[in-house]
Amino acid sequence: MSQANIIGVGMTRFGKYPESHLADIAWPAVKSALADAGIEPGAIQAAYCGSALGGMMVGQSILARIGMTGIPITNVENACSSSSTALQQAVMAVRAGKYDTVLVIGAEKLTALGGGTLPLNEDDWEASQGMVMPALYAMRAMRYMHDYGLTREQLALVSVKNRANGAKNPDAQMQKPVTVEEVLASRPVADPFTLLQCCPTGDGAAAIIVASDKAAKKYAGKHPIRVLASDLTSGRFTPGFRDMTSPEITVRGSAEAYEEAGVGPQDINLAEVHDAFSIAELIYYEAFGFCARGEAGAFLESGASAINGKVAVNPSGGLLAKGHPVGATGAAQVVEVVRQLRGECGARQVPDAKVGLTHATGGGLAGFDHGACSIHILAR
Amino acid sequence: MLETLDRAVGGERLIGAAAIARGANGEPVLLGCKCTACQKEMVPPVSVCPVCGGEDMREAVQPDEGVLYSYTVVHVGPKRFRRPLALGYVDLDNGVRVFSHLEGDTFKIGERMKFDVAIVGRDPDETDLTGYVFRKENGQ
Repeated sequence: MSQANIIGVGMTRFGKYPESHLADIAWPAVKSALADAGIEPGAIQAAYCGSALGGMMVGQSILARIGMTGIPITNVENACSSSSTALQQAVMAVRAGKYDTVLVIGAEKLTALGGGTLPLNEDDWEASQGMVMPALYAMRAMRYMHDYGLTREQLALVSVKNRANGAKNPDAQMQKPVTVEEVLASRPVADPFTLLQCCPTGDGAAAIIVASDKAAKKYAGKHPIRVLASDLTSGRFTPGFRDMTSPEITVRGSAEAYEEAGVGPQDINLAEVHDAFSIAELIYYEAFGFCARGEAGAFLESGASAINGKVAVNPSGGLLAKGHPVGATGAAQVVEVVRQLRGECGARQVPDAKVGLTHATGGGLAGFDHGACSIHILAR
Repeated sequence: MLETLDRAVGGERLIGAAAIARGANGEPVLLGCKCTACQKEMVPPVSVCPVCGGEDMREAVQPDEGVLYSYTVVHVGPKRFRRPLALGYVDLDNGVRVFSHLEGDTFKIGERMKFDVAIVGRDPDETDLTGYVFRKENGQ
């Protein structure tokens, strides 16, 4: 069995491109990843494309722009985990020996929806009664504050940290640092969240070239990044009590990923986690074992999750600052971790980064923590 | 089979109507179901068990009281509902968790809540929306 390696990455800066077709937002990311790997388009054997709301045949429409058709193209929809699931499929195909060179794309154009909260399935019991994603995360936050004494200021600090990181990332949608006071004074969305504690709506794309050991030797102009773990799981339905302060899908997924990689939380130098709302990042510190249950607020305040801290969390700015064009998010997290592991991140570079992880979870469904979760652990 | 509000009064705009039935004295009750295979109960009534896949599901009237697990007051989302809109999860005394609109001005996690039926919103054509709610036990 071959290992899977990442030999090239690229992305289109997250932002608002209402006048552009999704394919035109995405193809530059593909070309950039190909150039980064030093591989010619004709050498790519298959493509997996993640998009949640882009409609049918997103992968074909992107690759038709740049003469890359005639290969197997698989379109993947798994809500906010769409392109991380696409990567998981690509890694599986390379490890199985089916392909030596695979392209992964994540692409989304949320401005096509006209703004507001993400549309959920109308036939979902809770969505039909007014459930929206900010409300789901807000209830997690309210319970966490009740159980562990987390303050509104500590919650706001997540946005402050990630906006500061995003200001150092040219690919981030939000480029302006903010203060705790500004976060708390922004307009209320779902108590305890104010606007600056919610990820922005936007468009964007990211691309990754996955290669077998053989192909990595042939093409990688830069040091290939090894995929130590590629995990995908789904949420477990429960009609009864559920501890909303501990995300069962991520707790389970992180244990699976650590086991596959043969590493533990102490080995992780940086993590791109799914901070769709401020509380999420805090809950994920605990789910990944970066700190103990109930200690996330203090962990953040101590600077342990800052770029120079014990584990740099969301050095790219995360979903809160880099943006969250949902289907593109998982692939873009991988772009950041690969660049960090290669030492290419300039002002936001995590010192001596050796091992990093990405985590994209998605899907608001009644009875679930989330519908899908995909975690990757990468090493240089 | 209990008469649910959607079967009783199809003309009104009902939200979550599959879970609202008329009890023995005509009062509204919260209707769920119980799987005869795995014994799990849940709201709303469904024809196949989402836990074990069993297809022998029995209607089960749910307790009309529970404890507020968490809540939020939302300023975004579907315009047909009131804004701001109080939403929460109520843990019923039989272990079932119910997502519900909440009635009241202020809420506290852990306080006891009681089932009721109320106007929860209004459509653009001025038709009221009726749904189930939980309100504080002291009636505020």
